[in-house]
Amino acid sequence: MNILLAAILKVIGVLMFVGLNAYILIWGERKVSGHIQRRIGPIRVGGPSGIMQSAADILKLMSKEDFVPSGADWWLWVLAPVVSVAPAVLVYLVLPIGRTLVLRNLNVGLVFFSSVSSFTLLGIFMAGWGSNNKYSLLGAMRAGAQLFSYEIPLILSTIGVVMLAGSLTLQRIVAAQTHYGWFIFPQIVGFIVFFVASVAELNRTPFDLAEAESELVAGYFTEYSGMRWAMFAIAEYSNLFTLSALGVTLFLGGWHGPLLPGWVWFVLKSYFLVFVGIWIRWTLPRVRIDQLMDLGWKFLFPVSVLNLLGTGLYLMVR
Amino acid sequence: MIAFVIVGLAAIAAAIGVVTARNVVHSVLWLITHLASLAVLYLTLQATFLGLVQVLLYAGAVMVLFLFVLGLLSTRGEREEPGTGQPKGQTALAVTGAMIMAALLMVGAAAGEAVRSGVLPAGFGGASAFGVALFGRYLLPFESTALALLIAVVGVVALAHSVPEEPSASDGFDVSHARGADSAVLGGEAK
Repeated sequence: MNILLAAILKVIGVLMFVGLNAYILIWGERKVSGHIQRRIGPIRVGGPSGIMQSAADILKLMSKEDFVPSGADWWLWVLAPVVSVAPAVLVYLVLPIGRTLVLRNLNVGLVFFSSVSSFTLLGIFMAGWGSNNKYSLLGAMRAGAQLFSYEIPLILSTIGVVMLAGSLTLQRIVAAQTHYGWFIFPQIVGFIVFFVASVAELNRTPFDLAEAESELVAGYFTEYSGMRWAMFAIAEYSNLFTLSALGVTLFLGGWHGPLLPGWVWFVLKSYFLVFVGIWIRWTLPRVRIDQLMDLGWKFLFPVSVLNLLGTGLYLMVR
Repeated sequence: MIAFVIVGLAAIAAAIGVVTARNVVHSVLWLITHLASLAVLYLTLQATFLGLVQVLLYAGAVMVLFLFVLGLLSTRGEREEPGTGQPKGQTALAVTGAMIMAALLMVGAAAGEAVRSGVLPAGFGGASAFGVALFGRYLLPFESTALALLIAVVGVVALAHSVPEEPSASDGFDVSHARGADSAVLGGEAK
């Protein structure tokens, strides 16, 4: 009974964090983009710096008409937002938040992360197919090509870290960084590949071809509105946080840091990477689809394989 | 045990969905459900790593390719009616399938006996035990499977490029499949 209660509390905690994270990041993205474009962003909707803007957004989204496009594949269309949110929530299970603070210390935590997050694409595809809209389908196809191409360098770039740490357990990978120092230094190539590929995995500019608004309206979620659309947004911002948190875990020393408690460092570093992601989004223009594929297959993929070879050689001669 | 039965029933239901669904995309989605249920079955059998790899490779990567191909096919020939003629050889196929299934069940039952009789070794189902088994005892089957898949890939490329396509759509061999697929969709939609 206690186990069940603890599990329920953990789930509620994670869901609350997912909601709060989306709330803060939607507001944060607006503020950061505003300042990058020499505007001031939202200021009028209550609180300091317009912090209530997201609350107004939520109210607006909840009061919208629940609309199903004609000719939609009903089951796929309705299930697609749920299917995209589920993996976004599940990956919190293995994130090492503090020295002893992790929901479940799986011995294959990294594999769990990548396999669960590969389901995101399923939600995107269901949305694109179910909407009965050619822009949605094209967006889903692009997302499929893109996520499939960038998942390979993303996973390969993490394997260098796994080889150095000698474990797939995320807690052990963090612990190994007391010995080596942060893995960003020996694995700088891996980190660069990881970061570029994770921006592409998140479908954010400069890799936002799946929802390129000047070409595809909004890509796979063109036909969604109200809370159904909000679920896609929540999943997107949750993925932004969790992938940044994975980057912190693998390359930036996880919860290691002086003075402050471990979980504070973990959250601070993760939000720093999130900030870099937002910064990149509002700075760089969108790439073309052929440039995207060239970058993925002709640059990131060989570089990550070479990185693996180099790491292997180092481990051999050490 | 209860979880095993529930997930097993889900896997069977999804498998039935694969063959009864009228829409190809629904069929593939049922197949994903089925493969994901199999992954959960592996998890209940303590094979953690295998279960996660099952999700990553089958339910994730392979199924994405599957959906891709289907999406491309259906944007081209959506109006095409399914064949009305009765295909031949169903009985023979069904009998062969049932015999293979029975053989697999017997092998599985024999293997299950070994697991049930003893305590699982330490680290069973983990990544290192899995790797040692795959690259030690089962190296030859593993490598020959890889070779067979490579032959299949080469065959697909050879078959797909034997028919000359319209010159504008194709850029040749050096582009990835994904990009070629995408430009094909764009071409198909643009007209």
